[in-house]
Amino acid sequence: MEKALIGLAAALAVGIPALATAYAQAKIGSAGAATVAEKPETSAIMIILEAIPETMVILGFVVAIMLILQLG
Amino acid sequence: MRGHSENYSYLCAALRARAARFYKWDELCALARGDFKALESEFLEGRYSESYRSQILSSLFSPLRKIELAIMFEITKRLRSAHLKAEGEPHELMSVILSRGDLHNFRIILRRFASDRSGQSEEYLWHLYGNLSRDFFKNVWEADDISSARKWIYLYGDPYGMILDEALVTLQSTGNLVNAERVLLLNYLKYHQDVISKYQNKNGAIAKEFLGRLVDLWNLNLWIHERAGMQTKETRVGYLPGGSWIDDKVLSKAKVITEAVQGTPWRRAISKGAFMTFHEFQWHLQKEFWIWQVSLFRKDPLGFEVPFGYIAKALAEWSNLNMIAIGIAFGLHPDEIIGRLIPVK
Repeated sequence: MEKALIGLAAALAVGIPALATAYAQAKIGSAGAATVAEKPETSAIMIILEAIPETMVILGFVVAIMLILQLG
Repeated sequence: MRGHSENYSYLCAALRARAARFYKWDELCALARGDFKALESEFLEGRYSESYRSQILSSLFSPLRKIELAIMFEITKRLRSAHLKAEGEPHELMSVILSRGDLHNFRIILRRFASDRSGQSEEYLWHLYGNLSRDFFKNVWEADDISSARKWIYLYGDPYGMILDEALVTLQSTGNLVNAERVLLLNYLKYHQDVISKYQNKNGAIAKEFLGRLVDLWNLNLWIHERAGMQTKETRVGYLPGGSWIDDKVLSKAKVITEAVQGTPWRRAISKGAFMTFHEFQWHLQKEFWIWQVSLFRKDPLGFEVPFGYIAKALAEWSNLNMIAIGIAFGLHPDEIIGRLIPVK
């Protein structure tokens, strides 16, 4: 039972940040596409802005790994 | 047909980037301080060069008229392009705000039929970013009388054109321009209420407030005319209901304007100076209206504030560049020109 709960926690640790990241990247991506179309010189900063929400899912992934390692 | 989805993030980002093409306040002041040659060279080399060069190649008008036409074509192009980028909610709400162009043209047509029309052969510089086409306005403008103008409106069959039809009927039957304008504004507001009622959110509230402030302006102008003794029995019409800030009942009872505008954003228009003429007061009211619209541009980067502010910025630039061109051509002092510009700081 405990192992199942840890497995579920690991799944949620990746899943929820993944959804949040997807939402944020969708918004930033469409705004970034519009900005780059109007001002091509902003493309570098747009790529950085698009990558920032990625940190959420990476941290979630790290937490999930740590949880799975608990299973032994 | 556009779906119900909205694209605020894309639209707002594009418009915020495009807004960098508008002249900044310092640049406008520098243009106002220059001469006509400097203005012409700015139009030849600057942000309006494409439209101005096409005017040079295609028309035989005076340089001033060419500049006016270049501004009209460029701003209309920018507004139409911005409208086409919007989808769903912002598209519909932008249609409401951009219809101010149609309202402006309707008023010009009403004035034409209400006045002596001799010597008005030159076509007016239409505001063509709204719902109706240049052909519609041109044909109605060129009609010999109100009956012929109405025939053109029916020929086009656009329900939006019917707003003008009812006002023309009023003008024909009463000969009263103010009353006809009142009917025009009432029908215009009624037409857009259905669209706005679909959006019971913050974005819809902005469009609603815009229409409400238009009503406020109309009512305050009526009050001014009344108190200035400019109103005759024929032009006495009632205040319009549905203002954003000014209660029409309070206004009708107000002896001094401060009573009516107390606690409203319009009070800033009277705080500019205690000894203003009625004309100056009207200008300050208009200016407050513009300042409010432009100020929303930076309020919410993902809301309707951005397209709303963008439209205001574009139209303010139209007005400002026209004022600079006409002011310089007629030899006005630079400070006088700058004093008549809409502040877009």
